[in-house]
Amino acid sequence: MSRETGALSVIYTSIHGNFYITHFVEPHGPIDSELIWQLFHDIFGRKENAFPQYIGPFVDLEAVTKFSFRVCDEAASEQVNLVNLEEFNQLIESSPSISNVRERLTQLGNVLVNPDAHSKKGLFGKLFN
Amino acid sequence: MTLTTPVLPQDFDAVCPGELWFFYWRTSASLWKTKLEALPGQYVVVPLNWSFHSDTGEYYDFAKEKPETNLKKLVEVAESLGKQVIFLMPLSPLPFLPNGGLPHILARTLCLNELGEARAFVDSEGLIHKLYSYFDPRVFQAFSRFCQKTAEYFSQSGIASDIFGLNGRYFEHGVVKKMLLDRSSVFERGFQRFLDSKKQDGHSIDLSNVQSENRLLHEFESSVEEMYTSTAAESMAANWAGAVEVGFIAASPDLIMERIYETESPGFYSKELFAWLCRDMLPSSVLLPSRVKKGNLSKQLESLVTQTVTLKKLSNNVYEDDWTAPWRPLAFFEVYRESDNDLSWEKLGLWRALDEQFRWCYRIRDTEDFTFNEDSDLSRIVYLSGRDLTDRAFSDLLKVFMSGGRVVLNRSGLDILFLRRFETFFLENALKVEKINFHTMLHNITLGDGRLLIFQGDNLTALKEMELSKFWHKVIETYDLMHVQMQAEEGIDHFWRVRSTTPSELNYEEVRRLNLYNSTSYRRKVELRYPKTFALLKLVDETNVRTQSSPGMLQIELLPGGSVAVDFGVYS
Repeated sequence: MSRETGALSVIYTSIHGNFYITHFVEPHGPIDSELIWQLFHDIFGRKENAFPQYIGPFVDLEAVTKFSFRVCDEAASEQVNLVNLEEFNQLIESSPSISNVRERLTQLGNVLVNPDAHSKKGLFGKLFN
Repeated sequence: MTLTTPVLPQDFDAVCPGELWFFYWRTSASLWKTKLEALPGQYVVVPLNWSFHSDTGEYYDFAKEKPETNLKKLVEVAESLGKQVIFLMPLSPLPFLPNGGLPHILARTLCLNELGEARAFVDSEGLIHKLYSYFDPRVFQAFSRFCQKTAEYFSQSGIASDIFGLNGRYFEHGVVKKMLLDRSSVFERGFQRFLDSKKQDGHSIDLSNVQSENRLLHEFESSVEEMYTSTAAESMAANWAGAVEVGFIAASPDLIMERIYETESPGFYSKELFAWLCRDMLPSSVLLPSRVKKGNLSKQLESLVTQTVTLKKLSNNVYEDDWTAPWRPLAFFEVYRESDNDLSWEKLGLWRALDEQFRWCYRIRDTEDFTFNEDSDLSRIVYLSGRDLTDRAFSDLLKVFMSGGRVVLNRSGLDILFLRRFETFFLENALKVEKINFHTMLHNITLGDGRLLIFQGDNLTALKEMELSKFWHKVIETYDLMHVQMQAEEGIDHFWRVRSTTPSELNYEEVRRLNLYNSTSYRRKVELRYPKTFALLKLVDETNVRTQSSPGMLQIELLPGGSVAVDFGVYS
């Protein structure tokens, strides 16, 4: 399987001890943040967020990982790669063009493979596949 | 003879990216005439590309090696076509140039935003440009040299064109930010030096809370921006025409992923364009790819920017009241706030209320810019927060009022000394204070045409959105603003402009133009009801519209992509 097909990418950062997701993208572009927020609220309820432009807060990286995998599962995607903001900054700094960023983003970070991707058609999958 | 490889343009947009801008470095000097001939109008706006004239910031090429650095020739070519060149000197990084326009040897520290994200922008061709810190003292020294070299070249080659300083701006989470913004280690070191110097000067430094720290950060940023501006102004005094704030459309980092994946919507950029106009800044679409800049967005940029604000901002020859003056955005209100982060009017529901009846017909300004002088436009209703009032602003407020202006003042947080000064002022001038209790205590004071409405904003915060809207509608009603009532289906963009009358229109006080755009894929209806003091003059630039008129009313049906402008003459 090519890493580019059906892969989600999550960019996360840590601010004042909490973790936040800054971007959540699928191969064709950013995922509608309302869908992500909906799932976040379903799982964690409504939490006070000092940075409402970002999804969160998450208590630790493990929570970000679990949540990202849940989105991956709902989207019936084959994998999700978690990229921290520093890696993303380096990608931006070293990429001359948007096509280059698109190509390289899915090659970064820690990859979580979803073995059930083909057997499931999750809520998000119905919406954007 | 030096051989150079000219940058051959792929299309007209790469060289002439919109709003009369001309990127001289993107095409061969031998093609300048052909490109400029295709550019409409009498003016050409030319941003100076620092890195194109110098790789190092030390040695400068003005018409020595690369023919495209010959700005004298550019001016001559333009003049041979009857066009006047207006140069823009960057006073901050530019998002459409590699390294933000810095000579590559100076591009050392990547700019970061407040949350540590690299500051990068996508240009119209899908290239990513990273910005590098202007807070680096080496960059400032090199910039001073660039200004001197440019001034010397302009003087020696006899270029008399105006140079405006360009201060870049962009939106981030709805807040206007300076292109200069940086929170990298270089910035932090500069900020520390700034704080140390303030301490040495005997100022007390309060970093105990976020607000006071933000105030200091803002002060530091503004002082550095002012340093760049004054250096350019002094070096190039012979050509200097002032500084202008340029709002770059599509520069918001909120949309970086949409730009990377090319999924952006033109409708969003229309709203961003209107938002820049409301902030009295010059919008620029140079970052927008041509696939997005088409249809109604293209029409909006042409009519609202190129024909309306570009010349007003960049030409010293056009006077607002001259009958040949172009259209200008119509504004009934001027709302002042401490900063873009200041949400006090938002919490009081003012924006919602204004948007319901007077969408985009307001100006949003910083409180520090509130001033009174003989050029002040007294026709607009001024909204001020007492919390931000300084001594100078207080006396200017009274001058506005005494000169016939109208001010709405939120007294919450107002210094008790100012309240006493108000009382004394009212007593000394025997002014009657009318008190009305409507959700909060309102004090209404009139003097000739002048009107001062003071209210306690804190008492309104508990109200629901609908009640707040009603409150403001009631307040606005008392000003008897004469305007067209519009009912439009969702998806219609609109913008109002105004101009003085021509000699053949002397029956009217002014002419107002409403531009309507349907950017949806559906048919949309708009109904306009206008008072007896308005006369329907004409419909302009009708595209895919049907209209039906009856006394005092105009119904317009706009097909998908349709647009029209409606002119009204306004009697006193």
